Amino acid sequence: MKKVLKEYWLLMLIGALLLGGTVYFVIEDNSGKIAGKTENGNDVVFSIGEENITADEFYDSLYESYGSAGIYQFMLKAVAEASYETTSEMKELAELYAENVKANYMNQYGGEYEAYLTSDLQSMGYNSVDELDEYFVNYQKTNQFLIETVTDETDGTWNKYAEEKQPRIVSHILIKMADPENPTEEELAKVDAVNAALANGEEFGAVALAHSEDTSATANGLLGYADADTSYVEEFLKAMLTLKEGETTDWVKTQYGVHLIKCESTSLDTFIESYSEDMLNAVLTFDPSVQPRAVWAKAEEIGIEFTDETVKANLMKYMGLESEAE
Amino acid sequence: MKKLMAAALCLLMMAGCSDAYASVTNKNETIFKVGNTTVTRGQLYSYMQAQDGGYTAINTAMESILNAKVEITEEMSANAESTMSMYESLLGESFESYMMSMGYPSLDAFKQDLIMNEQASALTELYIENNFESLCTTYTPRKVKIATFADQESAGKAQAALKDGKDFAEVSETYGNTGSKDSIIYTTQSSYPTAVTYAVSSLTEGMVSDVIANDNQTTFYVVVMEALNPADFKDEAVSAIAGINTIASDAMLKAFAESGFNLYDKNLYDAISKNYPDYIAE
Repeated sequence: MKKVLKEYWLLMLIGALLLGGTVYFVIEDNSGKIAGKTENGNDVVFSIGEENITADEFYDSLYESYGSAGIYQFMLKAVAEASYETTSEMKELAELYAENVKANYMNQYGGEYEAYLTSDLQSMGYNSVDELDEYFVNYQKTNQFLIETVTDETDGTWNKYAEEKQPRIVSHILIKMADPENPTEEELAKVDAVNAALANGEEFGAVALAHSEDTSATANGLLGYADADTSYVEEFLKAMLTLKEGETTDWVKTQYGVHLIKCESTSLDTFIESYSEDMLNAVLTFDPSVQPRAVWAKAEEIGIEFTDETVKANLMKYMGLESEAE
Repeated sequence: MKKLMAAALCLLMMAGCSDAYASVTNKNETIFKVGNTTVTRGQLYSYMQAQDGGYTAINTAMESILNAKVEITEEMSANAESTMSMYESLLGESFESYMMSMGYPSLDAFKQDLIMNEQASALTELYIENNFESLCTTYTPRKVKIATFADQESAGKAQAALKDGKDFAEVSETYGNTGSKDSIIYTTQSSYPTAVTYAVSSLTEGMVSDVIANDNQTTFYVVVMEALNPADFKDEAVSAIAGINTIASDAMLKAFAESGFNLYDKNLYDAISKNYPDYIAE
């Protein structure tokens, strides 16, 4: 042994150094890594003292709080995917939405935006930012079948909403007044100029563009979709709701000054064509059960199967559709 | 030499071992199918973990630790019931749906939470009892009376009367003390002006301070030092320290560290690192 050591001492030193270095490298590389653990063949997620919580037990705990919501999100995504063919228009619009959303997140979160965006997508059953386009394609498909449900005469939701909330497309012309009860000569002159332009046959939108002192002037006075729940000041809202399609109010006094308000449209076709998102948001606020009803109806149409009836029952309860489950 | 090389190679293979990800059994088991899309147990598990952010693990661990360290007393159960009844009388029929909207899967889960809060309070008191000396060194509880006035003249007259040995309650009544008429336990976390804190730290037992003004001379204080040694008013000192907003969390973190909370899943580790970093043992 001594002879071997004497003869090969350099080689053995190199070998020992190599082994030592390798051990150090392995320890360093693996330090901070999460080691796994199993109990009776099941993966352990965490332990407190001697008590191990397996992934299956953890799943059951998580299911109490998140299970039905998660199944609903997955169902919504799957139904959207299967509901309609993806068109090139949908893809183009989805790409545009996705770019806008990314830009907004970047503005808000800077370099960490992807983590926040990923987290928000995961809450809706998507895995990563790479699926953002897919999310917006499904968003459009979901809106499409929601609108179909809402406006289906047999459903009745639209009629109830329209009767109660009186939706319309609204424009206005504003002349600002410091004290609307005591307008100045200059302010009254502006009112006269508007009156003269309209009497001269000029279009409401063109007069708004030329004379209105509200930011909507650049859009020809267009305020957009409104209903009885829109947060306009009381006098404006009250006057707006008295109008039929095409009608314009007399000058209406508010804290801002005086307004001429025009009802551009009360047509459902116009809402669907140009204001579908606003309209849908308003109806879903009016009747939150619309979405789960529509999603479930579409799922049944496509064909949905559960492997566990308890899961289905919990989902129906979550959606508020227990009676449909019976 | 060959054996050495073989050993080194085996060791090298161990380098670059990846983090562990705990998986549910039957992760490919279908939960439901819509059209051509199948959703599995594994997918739902990933989703729920992402939504949870580590909360359930921390809460489960907390419950286990509290049950090991603090017995649930009849008083705790009664307090929880009383709070449930209060909510029920306030919310009526919408009590259950309200609680579910707040994230409780059931009313039992809410009641369990209330009991855990009772246990956590008891754990905090236990922590303070077990670390009384060091916490008193940190937070220097003192038993004092502090009279508060809106004008310097009243404060001056009250100060003179207190120095003369007059009763604090009587002086409060006579000169219009707007503060507490009773003793309070003053700590380093008490919300009085710095000048009051300085006075409290320099008075001996029985002493009455000079009139102390706040920074903008709008409020005036007179302090009477009742007791310097926290051991002489231990129960009150424990309550005062328990009211300091970091103490409950300190107590819980210590209990976690003592109980051995270990993670075996990278996703859970990342979530807790992000949302509850103090609970990760170094």
